[in-house]
Amino acid sequence: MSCKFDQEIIQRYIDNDIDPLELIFLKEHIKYCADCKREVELLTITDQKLFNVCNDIDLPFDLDFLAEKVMKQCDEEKKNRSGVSSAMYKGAIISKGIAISLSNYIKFIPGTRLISKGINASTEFIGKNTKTFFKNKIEKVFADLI
Amino acid sequence: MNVDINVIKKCKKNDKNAFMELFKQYERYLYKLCYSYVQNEQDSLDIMQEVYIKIFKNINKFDTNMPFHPWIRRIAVNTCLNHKRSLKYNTISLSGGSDEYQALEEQLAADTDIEQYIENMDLERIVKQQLDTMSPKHRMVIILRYYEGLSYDEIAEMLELPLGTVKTDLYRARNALKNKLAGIV
Repeated sequence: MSCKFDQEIIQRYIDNDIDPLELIFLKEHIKYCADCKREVELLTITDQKLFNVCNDIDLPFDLDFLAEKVMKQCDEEKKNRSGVSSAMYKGAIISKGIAISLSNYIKFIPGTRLISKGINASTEFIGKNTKTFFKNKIEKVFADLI
Repeated sequence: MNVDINVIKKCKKNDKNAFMELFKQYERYLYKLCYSYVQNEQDSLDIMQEVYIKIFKNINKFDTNMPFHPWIRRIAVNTCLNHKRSLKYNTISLSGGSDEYQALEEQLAADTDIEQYIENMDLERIVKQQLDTMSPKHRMVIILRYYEGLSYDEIAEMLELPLGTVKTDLYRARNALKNKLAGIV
């Protein structure tokens, strides 16, 4: 097509999104330009055919069976999952029981209490000294600033 | 399409009847959307099945204060875009299927304008063939415009594309189709 007319105006006309002024301009133009007139006709037909293809669709007769099939499938899946999660839940309870029993048992192993006391004392000692160290440092920094 | 909020609330409580009611309300809409995209029955049903399952699994994530239709549309669109089409169903008959010949016989019997009828069939076949050759996103732009009637802004937002790209894609698709149809019309 040799015409330099803005094709986007024709596209906007097809979309029913054209300015009133552009519409007047287009209508005047296609009175004299056979190429653009043909473009408008062809695009109008194309537009119509696209609409038909996307909307004139026959529905299959067994469409409602699909919903039933899916619900059945989802139901079965849910039952399987609840079986697995129930097994996992029971396993977790058993593990917890074992852990509690173990921790109670450990208390009676000779030396455990001594070790635990020692660890607590060391932690307290380190904590106190660290706190004092940093407190002194911060006080010094502020003193220097003043 | 307006869905009763109580149906959705029941779905969230896993009420099977509520799900059936919801699917029943949406089955035509979903089928036509999927069919427009894949242009064959089997793939459409496959996609619909996936959409139903996604709705079932994700209904609790839906905020009942928001409109339902855009939510289900987004699920359907994303499922279509992610769907790998099965080749065996992906054939468009060039010589016309038995349904078309039967329709032609009925048309002959009805004594209507045969030439016009055949021309329409050819035009629509060409449109379907051309849709088939497009990329998934281009095809979806067409569907959202011609089936859903969405504006360019809405399409751009849904497909996460720039507005300019959406317009250009649609214009190009229309032009390509127009050039194909020019030989017949």
